Amino acid sequence: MSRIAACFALGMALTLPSLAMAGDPTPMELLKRYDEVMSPRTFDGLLTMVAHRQDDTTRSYKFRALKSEDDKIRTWFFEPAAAKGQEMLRVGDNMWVYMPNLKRSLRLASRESFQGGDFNNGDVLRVNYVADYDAKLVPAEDDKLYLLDLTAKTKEAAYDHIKLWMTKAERQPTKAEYYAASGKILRSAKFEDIKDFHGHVRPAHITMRNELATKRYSEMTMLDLKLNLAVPPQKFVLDDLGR
Amino acid sequence: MTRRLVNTVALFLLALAAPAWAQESLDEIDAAKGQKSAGGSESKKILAEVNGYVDNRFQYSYIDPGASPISTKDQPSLQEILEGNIQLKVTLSSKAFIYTDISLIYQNGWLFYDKDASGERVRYPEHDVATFRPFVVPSELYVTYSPKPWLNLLIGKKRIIWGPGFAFNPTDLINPPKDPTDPNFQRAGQWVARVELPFEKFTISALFAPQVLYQTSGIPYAVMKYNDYPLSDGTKPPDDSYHYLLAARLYLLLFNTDINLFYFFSNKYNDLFENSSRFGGSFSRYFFTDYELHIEALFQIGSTRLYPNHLCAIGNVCNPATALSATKLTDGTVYPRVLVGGRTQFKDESTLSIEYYYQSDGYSDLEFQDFLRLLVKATQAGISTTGVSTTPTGGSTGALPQRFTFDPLRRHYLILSYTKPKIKDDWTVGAVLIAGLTDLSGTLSPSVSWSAKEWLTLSLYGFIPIRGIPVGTVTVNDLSYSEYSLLPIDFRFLFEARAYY
Repeated sequence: MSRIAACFALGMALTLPSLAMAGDPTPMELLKRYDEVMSPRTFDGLLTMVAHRQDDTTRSYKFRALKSEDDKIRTWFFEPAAAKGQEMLRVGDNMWVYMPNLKRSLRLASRESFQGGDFNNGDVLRVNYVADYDAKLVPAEDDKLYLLDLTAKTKEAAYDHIKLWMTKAERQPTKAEYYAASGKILRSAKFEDIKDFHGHVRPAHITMRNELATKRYSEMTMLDLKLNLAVPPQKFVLDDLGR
Repeated sequence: MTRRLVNTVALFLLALAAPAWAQESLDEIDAAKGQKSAGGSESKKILAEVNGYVDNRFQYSYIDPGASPISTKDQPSLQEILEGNIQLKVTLSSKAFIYTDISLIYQNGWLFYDKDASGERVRYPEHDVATFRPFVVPSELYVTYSPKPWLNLLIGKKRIIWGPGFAFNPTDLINPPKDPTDPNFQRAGQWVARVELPFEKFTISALFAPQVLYQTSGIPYAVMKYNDYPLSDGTKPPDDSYHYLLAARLYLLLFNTDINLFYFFSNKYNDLFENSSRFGGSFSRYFFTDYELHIEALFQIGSTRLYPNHLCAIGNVCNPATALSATKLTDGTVYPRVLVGGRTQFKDESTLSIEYYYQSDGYSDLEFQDFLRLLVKATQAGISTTGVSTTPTGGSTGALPQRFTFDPLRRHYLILSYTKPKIKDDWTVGAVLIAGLTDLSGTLSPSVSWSAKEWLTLSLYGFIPIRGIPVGTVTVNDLSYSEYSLLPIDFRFLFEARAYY
């Protein structure tokens, strides 16, 4: 569920050197930090997603994501032309997609693929690791990194199990692996290109690799990001989709 | 001349759309939409965004005039539909915009068949068919204004669907019906004025819809009431009533569930009900994370369906004016229409949708048999049965031409829809089955699509009537009929190319 969450939030928290305090943080502190970086409480972001497919061709998407509170997020698609006008909304455990061709909204499940790419809806629309996962700190091979072992504690979590690496210095995510309940690896993510977006530091580029079809992967890039916005709650109601 | 005009219009629209392109920051987007930028200043710039598609559909149907008592004289074997669609959104301010979704349709049909006196399939001369002439469909054309975040006003033509049904919406009394085998296709709405109050956990909507009674090129020229004088072709005004619908709806998001409650009051709006109230409700929720369940129901007193006159059907003499009539219109019985369905996506990203539909005013076996007897009689008497419908709507829908319209005659139906994307990256296969459960007849519509480019999709659709098994069929003149054996085709193939811009 939260690879994207990870991706979103990841990028946000790169810099805060003051965080390099004495002693290791608790797993939940790191998880909270991840959410703050990748999915701050409110934000307005402009993103692109490029899906690389098995035949070496690509599909590109451009969309805007608006988040309010911990559990409300809405996206608007601008590109490609075939997806223009599509919107997605998440409120709590509910997700909907507005299809301009249907002129209506449909309910979605969080584990469904996000626009047919390698992120799923939960990755993008449901980034709240503190709410969705239990975490424990395990030894990492690289002593500059923390390794978190996450286990889903809600059915709505996008993945059953996640391994998440974060830097000790900046406490930014660098890598993640996402597993099914069987222990089979489904996807892996790399978090790169740490950028400062109007004072919020986070990875701007996330590569999500489909480990079941190894030639397939998707890249998500944050083009712009703003925080601390005043957004009317009506932007996050079903009937506002399509307006 | 025409081409030059089209080119000029296209260039103008593209020029208007230019500001929407190449936006690489949130400020650029907000400035273009007239919203306050980070600096607090509000742009007064008007933005026009344009997108749309060009769609070509070419289909071949094997016409079988002997399979059904429905006339095939106006049903071509070959049909071409070329659609140019433009969707234009003009943002007037951060609170108001105008939206239009217009399609220009060129269509034609060739290769007609009928049966001769001995019942053999024979060519029928090429001829003009009014429904295959080019036309314009303004699917949507409205202006909307939100003076407050909790208040939205809308006036114009818009497709408004409140129910959660995927292939079919029994509570949709407003819009032209969609094609269950291709729910994406029908885009046309109706003329409405709507007030909506959206809040975090609930929404209240009130809507007034005057019926369009006559229109040409998508422009209405008789709305709500027929003109007092006859049309130029001599057609007299059918009545002097006001044709309209009022609707109120309460939407609630409760316990992760979408709940709608509806109230409709109508007078001769799309059907024969006069000053009549109807109630409805719907429910939609995900269970066990991945399984969506929805219920959509409409309750009405009486039925506007036309029922066959039994004595007329079995007798030798029959008055065509009373052969089919709305005999249950005011019988005081409550007739529910209920859709129950679910949808799930499997791990391979394939999606399965299952819906069961029940309409209590559907034909019984005897009524269906009598209906067929009347059809056969009409055909034998040389009366055209093309486009025969048991649910008269009146007025003019001005909708896009569909390959299939779900106009169920009986009581129990099952609609199955399966889609499997990424058979090979851009290839998607799917199938839609509509089955009448009374006689196990139906239609199967398999499809394969290839997104050849990000802007181009090529699709091939099949359409195969399943005439059913000899259980639940009715016999007229020693011929057995099921509901979907009434379709006078053995199969149909449709190739579609759609390019987005």
